[in-house]
This record gives sequence, structure tokens and C-alpha cells, in this order.
Amino acid sequence: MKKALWIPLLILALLLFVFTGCSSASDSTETPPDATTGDQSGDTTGDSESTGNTQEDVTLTAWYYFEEGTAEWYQAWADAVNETYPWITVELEELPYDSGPEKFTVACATNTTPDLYFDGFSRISPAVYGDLCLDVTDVVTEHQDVFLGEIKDGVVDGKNFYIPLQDGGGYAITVNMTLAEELGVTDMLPEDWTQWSYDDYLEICRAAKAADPSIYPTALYAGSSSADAAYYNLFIANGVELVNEDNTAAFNTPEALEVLEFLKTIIDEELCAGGPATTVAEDIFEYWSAGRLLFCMPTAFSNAASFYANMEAGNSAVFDFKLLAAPTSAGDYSPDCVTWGTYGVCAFKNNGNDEAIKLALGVMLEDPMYQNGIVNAIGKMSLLNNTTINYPTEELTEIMEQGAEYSANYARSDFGILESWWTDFRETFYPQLQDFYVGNIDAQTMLDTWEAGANGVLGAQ
Amino acid sequence: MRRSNARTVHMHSLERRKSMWAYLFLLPWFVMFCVFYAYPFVYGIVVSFTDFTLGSMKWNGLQNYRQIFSDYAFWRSLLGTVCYCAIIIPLEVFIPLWAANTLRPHGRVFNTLTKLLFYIPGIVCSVVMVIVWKFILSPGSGLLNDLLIKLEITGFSIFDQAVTSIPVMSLMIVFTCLGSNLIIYCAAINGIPAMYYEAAELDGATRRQQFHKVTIPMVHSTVIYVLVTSTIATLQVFVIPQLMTGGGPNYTSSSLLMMIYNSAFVGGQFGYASAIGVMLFIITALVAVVQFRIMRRDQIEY
Repeated sequence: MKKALWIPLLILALLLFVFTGCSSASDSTETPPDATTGDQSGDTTGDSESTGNTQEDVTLTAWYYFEEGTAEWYQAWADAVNETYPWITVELEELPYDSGPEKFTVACATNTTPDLYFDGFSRISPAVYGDLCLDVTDVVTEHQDVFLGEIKDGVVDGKNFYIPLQDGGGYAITVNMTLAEELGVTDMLPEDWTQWSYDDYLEICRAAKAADPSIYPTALYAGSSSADAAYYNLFIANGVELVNEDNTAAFNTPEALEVLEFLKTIIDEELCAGGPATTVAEDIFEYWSAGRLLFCMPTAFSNAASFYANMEAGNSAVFDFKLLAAPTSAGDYSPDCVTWGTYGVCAFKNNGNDEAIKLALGVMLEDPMYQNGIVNAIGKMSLLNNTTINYPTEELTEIMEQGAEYSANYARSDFGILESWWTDFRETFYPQLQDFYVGNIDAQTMLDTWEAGANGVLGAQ
Repeated sequence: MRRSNARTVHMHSLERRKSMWAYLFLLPWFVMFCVFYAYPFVYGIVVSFTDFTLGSMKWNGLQNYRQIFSDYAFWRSLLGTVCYCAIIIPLEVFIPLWAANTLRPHGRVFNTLTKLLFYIPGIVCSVVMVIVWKFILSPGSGLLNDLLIKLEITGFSIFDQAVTSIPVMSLMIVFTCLGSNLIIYCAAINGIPAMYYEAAELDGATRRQQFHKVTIPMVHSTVIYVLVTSTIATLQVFVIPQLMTGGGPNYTSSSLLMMIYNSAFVGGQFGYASAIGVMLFIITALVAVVQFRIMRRDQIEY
């Protein structure tokens, strides 16, 4: 019997050989263009009559994230692509926000990316800098008049690898005005919505807590790496830069200490919901939806639309709210705020469907209808000049107008979010914040440890 | 002589044909094993020596392993994994053994109902269970916290300190795993011939003495099996801590498998994640071997 062992061993060796061979072949990112689309050089706006009958069918896959009311607009675009170019079919896949980023990461690492991927540039940038994305400069050049301004995101060596379509707007703090009224703190809110201090904020929280101990004046969260945006907003509003021009950490300053001491006061005086070290943003939105939270910190202007949508759908208590800029230590700094960059689309070159991809992108840019529908559904600001905003309520329209002005004047995405090192950089922040929140380290130690970690990441670039 | 040789050849041919059939039947499983276990295992080891990030894979020798040894998160996660093991394994091994022994003299209906009660948590999806526990224990909106507020007691978060979060999450994990081990022990104990217990009773042995002198020696190999499988499962603890705390604060409730997941699927560092995976494999193999060595003794046949 022992002699017969060579049979399974031979099969095992053969299988390993075959799989290793397959893997080596798929590792190559220099896949030649698909023969079915290889003849279509140049003309990215060719009409269906002239090109449709001569092409073999191409199926493009496109991934986008689920947001209420957007699916129909993506589908309309996919249908329009197929109508204009009958040989192109766009297959859409909707990703959930909780597992979609992981799926995208795995797809990038294993060369199984879709042809088109709609997301924020902060998540797309590793793929752009990893040389996975298709050069779409010709599409951008051809539709230059559609864009509101110069495209900066996703440009490498003068070539466009990403098309920005929307902006999320600046980060702000949302106030439940109905609850403020009930708690009797409305008059304490700042008259100038961009100018208020930490003391003002704390006073309002104390008064709210005294009026009703069962509500949460505010909520802090550090449960995951995506917990950072609201904190960068506080830092930047208080005059703290994250990174120096020479690519070293810049945040270890007295102003950053003030921010941390402010946060610690909130925790020590029990002005926030318990367990901030392991709380995630979704938990905070739960308190918010229940109408039990006065100040909601992790919000950008684009959240306003989803708050309204949730109320309409019965998923949230109904109340009035408004947005305020982040407070600062003295209340007199320039109210700079963070924006999480743009949202848009990138294409991948691994499937060799280059020309079909460019034609499909052209359809999206030429007709304002699709972006119009999407931005109106999700409350983001369009970066295309042929989009008309038509929000469902007057209040939302007012908030979004305020947000557009605020974001245009103060919103910044130049603090590192668009850099290739950003993913690693942000991983150095929240574990230290967690330790700080549970009282294991003081504010200065937190900044020192974070600085050491951040410099390690920045120095490795 | 010639006839004898012919018979030998014929026997060999028959044996070979039988072997071929056996291999043929084994082939589907073997192919699956190669595709889903052997190949990923070998490939994972290869990847652990590379800087495999998004879109690139470069050989970097032992760099990932060097990084592991200087990585605070790795050591915290290793410590967390050891803590989970220290709580979970004894409970998973001994509570079902005690329960199975207690059930032995009782009737069939009582046995079945008890096993069912123990087994039900195991068939509930872990994610659903986490949602229910969060509903109770959430520091912000949980039932427990609401109750404390009503009693004018300051709410607190169980999950903000590893001292409280690891034991609580370990108990949740134990809660789901008792049923399957109980069934294994019940099967083993029911297989012990009644004459041994009768003889022990005639000799005046108490229930406790019967348990120590009859039951444990007789189910020794089953205890080893449960111990090894529980250890392997606990070294790979993931779902409940990932959903409850995400490994925080500052990796104090993290486990090695969580680190692998986060390095690969959140950080995109597949090479580094594979290196941690190899380390986890080595640790698991070492622990299993040590357990076998310590627990090895002569089998009792009956």
C-alpha cells in the first residue's frame, strides 16, 4: 500500500503546480486589451449606429455603495449605456458600507476589481497610487466643460485616474433643536454659528444634563479607525496641522492638547454616552435617531439629507436640527473644517475593457440626469456644472446652501487624506485615543505616542 | 512454484484494483482539500515572505516576521488570545463533562431536554447573539444602562477595560459552545458499560469517586479530543470580540485572528497578515502537540 502513496502525492504536486501557474498568470497587471474592444481607439463618443453592430458584447461591472434613493439612478445610467452602445452591458452591484471597503481591498489585492468603482477618493487613492486604475485623461479632457473646476484628486504625472463627481461638504456639529428647546438651552447656542468656544459647548452640555439626566448632551466615539474625521475637524478648527511640509507629524502642539483636554472634560463630567473608547459612529447615530442626543459630532453637511430621509421613512424620531461649526478653545479661531474629499468614480484596467469603460463614463458625464438624481438623493454637493439641486424640503435646501458656502470657504482636504500614506497614518491615531479615553494615558502621552507612530508611517514613505 | 507466482501476481493485481477504487472515491475530497486547504496554506506561507499590498507583491524576506516582533498590537493581541484561552478552554472542557456526568443517571426525556437547552445557543448565529447582547449591555442605549439610570446609578461600559470585557465576551463564547461538547461527552459516557459503575457502587464508591475513578479514565480520549478542538477554536476567536469591541481599547481585547483580518482586509497588508497567520499556525500546532504529550496515557479498552 505504501508504494501507492505516490498517486495522491503526484495529484497534489500537479494541483499545486496548476494553481501556482494560474496565480502567476493572474498576478500580471499588464493584461493586453480585450480583443473585442481593441479596435475602438480614439472615438469615445461614437454612436451606436456606427459601432454597435461591429462589436462583440462587453459586460462591465460597476460597484457603488448603498444609499437610499440612488439605485434607480445608477440603473438608469446602466440602461442608457446599453441603449447608446448595445454591445455594452453594465452590471451593477450595490455594496453595504460595513463590508464593502473590505471587499474592495480584497478585490484590489487579488486583481478581481470591477471595471468601474464609485466611492470616496480617500478609499480609492490606494488603488490610484498602486497603479491599478485606468488612465481616463481623454474622457476628462473631452468633457472638461462639465466640471465645475480644475480636477486635483487622482491626478498622477498629469494624468487622471479618477473622476470626482460629488463633494461631501465640511464637517460640522448637528444640534437637535427640538431637544434643545425642551431642555431650555436654545438661548445658549451661539448666535454666530461658526464662533463658539469649548467653554460654551461644555456649559450647554452641563445645562442639558442638569435639565434631563436621561439624555446625552453629546457622544464621543473611538471604536474604529473610521472614528477619526470628527477629531481631525476639532484639531484643524483649533489651528492644529496634522503633517508638516517635510512629511513629519505636526500635531503635537499646545492647541492639540487643548482639544484633548476638552474631550476629557466631556468624559470626566459624564456629558457623553458611556464607553466612548469602544463606541462606533453607528452607535451615535442610534442615539441621535432616538432623539436622545443633543450634539451629534460625526456629521458632515451631507448627513443632513440622510437625517431627513430617515425621518421620512420612520426610522428616526422627528425633530428639527441645525448644523454648527466645531467650537474652538478661545472661540475666535478661523473655523477651518475637514472635508472627506470628493466622491467619484475610477476605472480598473485589469479586465481590458478600456474603451467600453470610457464610453460608459462618457454617457454619465454627458447627461446631467444621473448625477442630478444621485446628489439630490444623498445630499452631497455636485461637482458637475450641469446638475440642478432640488432638495425635498425648504429646511434641507437652506441647510445645504449654508453647507455649500461654508465648505467652499473653509473646508479642507489637504491634511493628508488624499495621500498614499493616509490609510496607515489614521491607524496610528485611534488606538491611542482609546487608551486616552479609558484613562490609561494622559493627553501629552497620547500625543507623544501618536506622534511616534505617525512619524514611523510618514518616514517609511 | 509457477502456480504460486501466478496467484501472487493475481492477488497483487486485485489489491491494486481495490486501491485504485479507494483512491478514486477519495479523489473528490482530496481535490477539495488541495484547493481549499493545501494550496492556500502553502500560498499563505509564500505570501508571508512578501510585501503583498494593493496591486504589488515584492519579496521582502523576513521583514514581516521582524515587524511582528516589534509590533505592540501583535503582542497585545497575543496576550488577549491567551486570556481568552485561559477563561474559555477550562469552562468548555469541564462544564459539559460535569453536566454529562450529572445527566447519566437521569431518564431519557430529561437528558434530551437538557441537551437541547445547552445546544440551542450554539445554533444561534453569533452576529444575532452579539446584537442581543449589545441591546442589553450597550453603554449608551442598553437595557442595563437604562436600568442603572433609573436607579440613579452612573452607567458604565463593560467593554472599555479588558479586565471586564474579556471575561464577559469569553462567557458569551462559552455559552455558544457548551452544547456540542455536552453531546460528545454524553455519547462517551453512555458508552461506558454499566457494570463498571455497578462494581464501583458495590465497592461503596461515592458519586464523586465514581466520576474520578471510572468516568474520567474511561472518557480520557474524549477529553483530549474536546480539549484540543476547543483550544484550536479558541486560538481563533474572532466574531464576538470583533463585533463587540473591535479589539479595543488599544488592542487590549484583540485576538490574533482579528489582527490578521484587520491587517489584510482593512489595512491591505496581506503579506504581514499572512506572517501573523503563520505565527498563529505555529502557536496552535505547538499547543496541540504539548497537550497531546501531557495528556498521553495508555488507552483503556472495554
